[in-house]
Amino acid sequence: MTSSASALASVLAVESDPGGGFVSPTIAEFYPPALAEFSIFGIDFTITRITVISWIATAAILAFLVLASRRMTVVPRKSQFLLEGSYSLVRDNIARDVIGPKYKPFVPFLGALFFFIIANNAMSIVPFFQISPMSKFAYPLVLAILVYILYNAVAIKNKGLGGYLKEVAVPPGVPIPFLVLVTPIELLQVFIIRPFTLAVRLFANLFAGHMLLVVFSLGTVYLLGKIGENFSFVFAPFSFLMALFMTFFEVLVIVLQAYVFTVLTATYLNGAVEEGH
Amino acid sequence: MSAAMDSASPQNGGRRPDPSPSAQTHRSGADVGWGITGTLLSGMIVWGGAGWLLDRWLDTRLFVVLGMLLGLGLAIYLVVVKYGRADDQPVSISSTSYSKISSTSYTTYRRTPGGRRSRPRAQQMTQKGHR
Repeated sequence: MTSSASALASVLAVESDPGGGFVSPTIAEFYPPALAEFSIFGIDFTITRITVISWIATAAILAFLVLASRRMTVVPRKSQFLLEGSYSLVRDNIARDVIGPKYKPFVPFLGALFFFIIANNAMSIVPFFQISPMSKFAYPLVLAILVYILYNAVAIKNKGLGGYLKEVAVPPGVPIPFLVLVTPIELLQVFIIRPFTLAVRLFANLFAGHMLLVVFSLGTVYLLGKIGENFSFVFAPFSFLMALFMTFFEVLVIVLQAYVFTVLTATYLNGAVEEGH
Repeated sequence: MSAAMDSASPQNGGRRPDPSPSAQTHRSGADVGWGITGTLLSGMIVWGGAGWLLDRWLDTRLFVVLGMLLGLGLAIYLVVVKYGRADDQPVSISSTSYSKISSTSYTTYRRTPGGRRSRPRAQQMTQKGHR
C-alpha cells in the first residue's frame, strides 16, 4: 500500500485484515470513540463525533436562517431566495395543503423540524463529517416522540380524550361485533407503530445511505491498494464511480426524507385538528 | 350499511350531513401507504401475539400461526374498510364544487361535504403517497 493510500485508509478508518482481505464496515461505524464522557444526575452522557456533527449542523442551519433573513429585500438575493423557497415549501405545500385552514400555529414547528432534519441529514455527504446524526436511531426517535406528543395533545385538546380514543378505536363502517377483533389492531397501529415507523423511516434511510457510501469508499481504497491484482484496475474505478453515484443519490434521500418526515407530521396534525365526525 | 353508519358516526348532526361513513379517512395521501403497512403489521402482531401467549399457556405451537393469519385477515379487512371506500363511490357534488371554485386552494377541497374525497384530490394524494 502506498503511503498516501495508507494515510487515506487511516482517515477512513480502514481496518486491516491479517489475511489481507477486504474488511467490510460494520455497525461499529455508528459507534465512534467517545470524545468526552460525563454524568449529570446519574445520567451518563457521551460526546462523540456524531454529537459534535449534530451541533455543527444545527449551528450552521441556524446561522443560515439568521443571516438569510436579515436585510430582506423585495428582490431576493441568493440566500434569501433559498430561504424563502424552502420556507414557503413548508408553509404552503406542507402545512397549508396538508393540515388545512388551521395550519398557522404549526408552521414554526414544521419549519424548525424541516430545517433541522435537512441540515442534519446533509451531514452525511459534507466532506470530513460524512455521517448524519439521523443515522443514529436516537435522533429520529426523539423527533418522532416530539411529534407524537404534539399531535396527540392537539387531538385531545380538540376532540377530548374520549372523542379521540373513540375515533381511533372505532373505525367507521365496522360492525360492532368485529370491533373486539379490530380495535386492538387499530390502537397498536395508531399509538405505537405509527410513531415508530416515522422514526424508523428517517433512521433507516440515512443509516443505509451511510453504509453504502462507506462500503464503496472503503472498497475503492482497498482495491487501489491491490492494484495490479485480480483486475483491480477495473473494479477500483467502478467502486469509485458507485461511491460518487451513491453520493448524488444521497442528496435525493437527504431532501426527500426531510420532506417526508415533515409531511407525515403535518398529516398527523391534520388528523388531530380536524372537526369531529 | 345503515347500522354501520349509526354505530360508527353518531356525531353526524353537526354542520352538515355526513354522506360517507368513512369520514375518518379524510387524511392526506402521504399517510395512506404507511397506514396500510402499519395496519397489516399491527394485525399480525396483535393476534399473532395473542396466539403466541396462548401457545405458551397451553404448550402448543398452533395458535401463533392461526393468530397471525387471523390478524392478517382482519388487517386486510380493516384496510379495505378504511382506505378502500373512497373510490367505490361515484363522484357527485363534491367533485363538481371542487372544479367550480379553483384547483389549488386548500379551502376548496376542505369544503367538500363531510370531508369526502373527490377524485381530483385522490389523484393529488396518490402523488404525495408515492414519495
